[in-house]
Amino acid sequence: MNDSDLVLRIVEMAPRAIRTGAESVVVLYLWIQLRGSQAGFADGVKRAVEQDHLRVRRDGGFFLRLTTRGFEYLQKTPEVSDALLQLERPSDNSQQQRLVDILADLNRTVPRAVSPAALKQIWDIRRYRADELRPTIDALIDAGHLEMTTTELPGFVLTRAGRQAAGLSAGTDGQRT
Amino acid sequence: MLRYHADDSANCLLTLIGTLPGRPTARLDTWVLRQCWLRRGLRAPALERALSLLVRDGLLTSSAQHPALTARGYGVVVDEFALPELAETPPPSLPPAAREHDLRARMLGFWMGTPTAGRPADQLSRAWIAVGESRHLFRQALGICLRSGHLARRRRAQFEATDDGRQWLLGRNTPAGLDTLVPTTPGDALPDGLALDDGTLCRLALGAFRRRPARTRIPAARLTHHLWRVGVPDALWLRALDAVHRYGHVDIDVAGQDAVLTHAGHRFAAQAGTLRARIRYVQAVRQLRPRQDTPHERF
Repeated sequence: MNDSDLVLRIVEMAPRAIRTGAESVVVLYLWIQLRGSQAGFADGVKRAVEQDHLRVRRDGGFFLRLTTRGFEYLQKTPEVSDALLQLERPSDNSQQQRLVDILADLNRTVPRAVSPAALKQIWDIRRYRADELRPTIDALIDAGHLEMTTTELPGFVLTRAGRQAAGLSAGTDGQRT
Repeated sequence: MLRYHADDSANCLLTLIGTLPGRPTARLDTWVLRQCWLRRGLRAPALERALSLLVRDGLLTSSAQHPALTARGYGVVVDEFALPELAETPPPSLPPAAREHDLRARMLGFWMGTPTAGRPADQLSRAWIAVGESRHLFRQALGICLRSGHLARRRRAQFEATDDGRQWLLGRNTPAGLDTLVPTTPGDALPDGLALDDGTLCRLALGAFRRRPARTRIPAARLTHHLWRVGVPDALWLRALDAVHRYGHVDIDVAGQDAVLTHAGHRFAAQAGTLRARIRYVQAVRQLRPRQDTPHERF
């Protein structure tokens, strides 16, 4: 499956309201889980947009939504197994480590803030218990590994200490892309 | 922008489909749609009409239970027309006892109109999220209904309303503000293993009228006072008040803070009931720890 088709399929399968579209950071997270890195994602999105299969919406964040043409196109292309989105649930990691791992995956190349809604969706995709997310965020903030960005839209970013704990280059605190 | 259809129920259904969490190319579950529709205060016949209009216009495929959006339907949902806003009902902010009571009512609401149906957990979960409830409260709500004996788990992870659950669904609505008759102070925790069915709770609550048999109207606080005296944990008081009202044993006037024993309640209290009900009652009472000391200051 080529990059643009995979982007379309992930957008179609990602959890969200039909009319809203999928938050781009959630689509990116799924892409990274399937492909192992971010490589090819931007090109895939660009190509799907050029083919009028995908629309990028800015509505309190970036959302990717199928166009009618993209919807028709997907009806003709082979399904990706749902199993691809049933990501394995690591059992031995602590809740805090699970959250750090999610943010680390999204921050390997550039520091990126993740909105509370996107974080919740990713947490659900990983099939972690929903009621454990908030205490985990609180614990990481208390530990100084996580902070909420104060610029533009609210989102969580790893602090310098959090990036170091996740094995990423330290970078700067509170950056947003 | 134009409304899609002259019939606004069709427009409302398109809005609803657009707000559903799910895959746009996947089939829709009519039962889940129906739950969302009814919880927004819309009427069931209008949903049937809207579904048939959208199928006729080629916006939905024609499968009765599991229609799917066509490409044209998808286009209408996402951006071609202005669709009406549907009212959202955010979950109310309630004290703990009322919250438990509210969660039970929200979960049992899925059996309203189809009290004998078995519902698989994944369908219930989808409906729970689709109607706007918090995902993390789903297990809690299901657990509350299982503990109170209104739902039971059957084979293949299907959940069904029990006899108590079906009775509950047939009963009267909870009077608005009933929770204000129950103290909001942190109460006793529910002891492990203590399971009181609605019948037992009603019998315990109706004991409040036995102390003065000539009186059929008492202050509603006497009911909670009596529950406290016989050792019913605080966490169950609201459910007990709701049960006696719901099953028509007592008319509770929230504004007047009065409780009036009905003829049905009188009969119920006087009857010994079935042997099974009597055994359940005796077993339950044995687990309770009646209070003999001075009534608590909150009364």
